[in-house]
Amino acid sequence: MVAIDPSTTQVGTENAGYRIVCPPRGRALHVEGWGYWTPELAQAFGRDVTAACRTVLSPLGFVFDATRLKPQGREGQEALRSLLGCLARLELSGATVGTTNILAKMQLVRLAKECGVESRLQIRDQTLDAELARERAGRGESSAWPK
Amino acid sequence: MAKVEDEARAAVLRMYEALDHLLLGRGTEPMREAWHHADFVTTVHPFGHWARGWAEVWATWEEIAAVFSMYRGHADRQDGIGAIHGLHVAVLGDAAYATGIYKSCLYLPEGETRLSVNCTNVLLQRDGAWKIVHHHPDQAPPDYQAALGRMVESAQP
Repeated sequence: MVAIDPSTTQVGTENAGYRIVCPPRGRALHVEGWGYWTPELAQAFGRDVTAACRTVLSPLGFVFDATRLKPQGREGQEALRSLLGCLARLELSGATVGTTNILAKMQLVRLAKECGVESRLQIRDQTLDAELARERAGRGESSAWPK
Repeated sequence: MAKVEDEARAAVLRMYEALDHLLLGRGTEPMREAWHHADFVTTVHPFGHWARGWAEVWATWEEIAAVFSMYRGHADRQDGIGAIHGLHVAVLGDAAYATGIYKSCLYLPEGETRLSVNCTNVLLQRDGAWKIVHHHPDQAPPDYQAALGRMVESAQP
């Protein structure tokens, strides 16, 4: 664990890890995850994010930067369920999850559904959104994500 | 040499049969069997980024299986989802590489969704068994990836 300031927890290496920014008794929680988590890293994330969620106040502004996160194995998914389960119990003023790996995004959508929190999160694939917007602009269409 | 090439070719075909098995919700074990489980194995799929090492590689296959557990388009169909076409295999000692075109068709609520991507697979022969160590198809077009995303988003939990 790297101590940056009292409100920040950072664990892991350049290849895989997480950062949790959570001022005590604050109304904002910023989480970043990257790489593929080993079972030990996943377990640490579950523990740290659960502890962080206990200190925040509602309504909470939540941001999860998962743009460098890879699809997780069993333990990593369990750790993500810890985070999503905490969010399900909090009142959210806004909640955004950013991804660039569509398989990781689909995993997060699937887990968010399992935890009953998916309708309260905006989970975006930034790379795909940009590519779709470029294609649609080329075809003279305006919507970036047509339903 | 022809016999060795046939063995390597059969290993590639087994992997694509395992892929259909996985996509149709019939289990992941044949896909697990098709690979060497080593730190140097690598894969990417028509959607998503590189996975390096067996743990990461296997996590992607398991996630694809989880995603396709939400797919209902083949529930009443007897045909498979996809297959490899124009397969060419070259053997160099205990290594081999294979090139081909993977073609598939999904029946999503919004209509038929076809995919055609060039693919490269690399195999190693260890303890007499040819298995995959590297799998690399082209990326699917953004519309195809978005269609899969919508399938996941609209599925009932």
